[in-house]
Amino acid sequence: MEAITENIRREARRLLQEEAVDVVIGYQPGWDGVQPVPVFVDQAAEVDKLVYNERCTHNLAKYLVGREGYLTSRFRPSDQIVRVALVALPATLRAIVALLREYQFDRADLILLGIVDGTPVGIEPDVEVGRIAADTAKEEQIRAQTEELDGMSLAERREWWREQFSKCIRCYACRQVCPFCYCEQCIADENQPQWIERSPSLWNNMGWNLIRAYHLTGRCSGCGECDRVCPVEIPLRLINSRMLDEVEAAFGFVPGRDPDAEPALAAFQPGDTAGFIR
Amino acid sequence: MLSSNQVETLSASEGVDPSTWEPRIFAFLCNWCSYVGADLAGTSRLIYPATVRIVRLPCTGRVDPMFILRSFQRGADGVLVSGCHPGDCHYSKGNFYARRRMLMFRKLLAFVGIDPRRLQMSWVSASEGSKWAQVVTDVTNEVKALGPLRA
Amino acid sequence: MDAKLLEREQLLRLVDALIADCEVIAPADESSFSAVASAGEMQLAQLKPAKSPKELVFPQREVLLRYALAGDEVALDDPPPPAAVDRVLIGTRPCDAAAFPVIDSLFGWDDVDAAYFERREHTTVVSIACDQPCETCFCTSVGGSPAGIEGSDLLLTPLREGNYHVQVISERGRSLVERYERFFRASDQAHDRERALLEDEWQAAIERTVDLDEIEMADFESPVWETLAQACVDCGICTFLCPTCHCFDIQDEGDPNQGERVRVWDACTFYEYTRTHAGQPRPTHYRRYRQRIMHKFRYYPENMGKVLCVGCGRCIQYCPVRIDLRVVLEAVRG
Repeated sequence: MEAITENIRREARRLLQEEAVDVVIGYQPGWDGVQPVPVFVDQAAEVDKLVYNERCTHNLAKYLVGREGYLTSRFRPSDQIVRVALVALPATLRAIVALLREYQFDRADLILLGIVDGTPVGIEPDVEVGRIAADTAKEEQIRAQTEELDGMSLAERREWWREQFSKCIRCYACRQVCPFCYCEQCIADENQPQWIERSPSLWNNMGWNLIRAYHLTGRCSGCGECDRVCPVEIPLRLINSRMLDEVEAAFGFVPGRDPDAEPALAAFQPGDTAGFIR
Repeated sequence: MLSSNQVETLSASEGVDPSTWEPRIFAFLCNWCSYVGADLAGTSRLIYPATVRIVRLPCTGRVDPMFILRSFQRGADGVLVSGCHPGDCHYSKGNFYARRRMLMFRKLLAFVGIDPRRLQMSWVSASEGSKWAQVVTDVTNEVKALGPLRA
Repeated sequence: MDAKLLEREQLLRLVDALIADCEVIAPADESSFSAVASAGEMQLAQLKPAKSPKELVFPQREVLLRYALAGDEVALDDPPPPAAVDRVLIGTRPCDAAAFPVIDSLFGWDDVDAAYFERREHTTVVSIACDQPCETCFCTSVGGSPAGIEGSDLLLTPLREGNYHVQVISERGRSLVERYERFFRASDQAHDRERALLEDEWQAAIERTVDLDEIEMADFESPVWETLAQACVDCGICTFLCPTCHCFDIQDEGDPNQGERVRVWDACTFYEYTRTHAGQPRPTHYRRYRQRIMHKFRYYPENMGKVLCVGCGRCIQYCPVRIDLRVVLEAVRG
């Protein structure tokens, strides 16, 4: 861990001193000295703020995109390019591959200080600042919980999810921390027409959570942040993880793995089959 | 035929009598094939269940899963998406995308406990009036067996 | 009324007796307060669920009117008034209780929200003092205390023997004690002194304080605001979990033939909050964050005479990016 922190600081200092980037986006210790907070360092003198520990889970790619993204902001004159160095976790690297495939920004605007874990990813970090172990425990947990759900009858599963979705308070934290929720006008905020009503009734909540799950299908990087930040502990990662499996099973596509592969739901094969079609 | 801004207001199917209950099925039909096919069923005076409420779209590629969710919320017990046969899409490719989308959306519905058979799809061409009648009959029977969505 | 004592087992019996007569709402799990069917369902160790009890008086969804089209006529109906069901809210921390008088000022200002006060009047607040503040608590920085009485009708302070010292703070509190006096016994000066000493101890246990009196809020145009909220992702967690945040939106839900006009919670952190056809005065998130801080710590005190914060710390604990309000308040010294 300390080695990774040192590497990050060294690279950040170099990049800022050489003026190769305008800002380094990484993690700094939070209020208890341990829980990390995303930080945006633009002075070489301040690189010692940057740290890495196992609690650093935020998917920092989120800050690159969207209305106020560092690489896409509409509030910055278009000729003013911001070059960013990003501390990139394995899930962040996968997200970057997918975001590049969605033409969100140029590879050249971004320097990736990558932390890798050996899982396949379709991008080389500019600098590898650390190696960590793949989080198999998390995968196991998701598998176990999903198996339990699959063992239920349809009606039981429906009841289970209804209980979960009725807890939703529509804070949209799941959306706001996600690098793929970068639409300037989210469908949930449309009011001409109002597809999803704002109030937290069960059906409105289901509408919200299901449409978000669908919009992430074939794109999600599996960072699990949506699940972590939910204040009422809805197990969102179960849905996103399941849809990743379904996309892989149906189309052989895994987001983030191959930079040249077409995103599954933005593509087709004439030979696609779907047995349910009359 | 109802066009997209005339979708009926439907109240939730509460207090249903199983012997007389008929499902409400919202159908999203592409303008170039299925809508014409459905019209042909009408002009041919074919008899088929009066359970579908039709919304006309340019192409099945226009079907956003949001429409399907909204349909369920607005009282549909089943949703049918029908378009041109693969390879015959008026816009070349729209139905190919729709095919993948509907497949994935059914998986999502199944995972959260909504019977995926409530979302049906068919390829009905402009000349297939009798196929349309058959599709509606089969879909109605299948959705009827599943019962009201709100139950 | 003089202070009382309540043994721990008697508390459970009292709650069971209350359940027979009215609705009892207590912390149910880590996320929320809800009605309990027996004393055993209360999770009193979980005194501060993620969601504050404000939804008991300020529901997240409230129907304002119903409309239905019948031919050419539009029928408008007021929803039935909130059921005048008596409820006892038990197991709030003093910070959550203190939030009620803070937002009373808002709901009683200008157009009085009758439904809000109807619910308030039918809710008896029985708080339990904090013998162990969280790392994120800062009630003492905003005029509160782990054993503060603001907003409570009764305050139970756990004493070293394992029983509770009961302060009777209001008429509603008094009438509850009178009605269920068989569960209480008299307190004496020794217990009263112990309560006061414990309060001092618990106040001192709060690690991180902010001297709000010394803070003169930075000027609106100060550049410090731009850097404070860089990590903020503009979700609604801090607002929705906050016991004092009260902004709302009014929406019509339904179709042209029938529907409801509802009031729903809203958050100034959302981009959509100030988005109008005339423009968007807070397009970037530092502006929204500045608004949030200014509203809570300058505008509301100027308008209502109270800080719009009770120091519960949920905003710190649940913020997806761990922004610490205490750090922010120190940084915005003018």
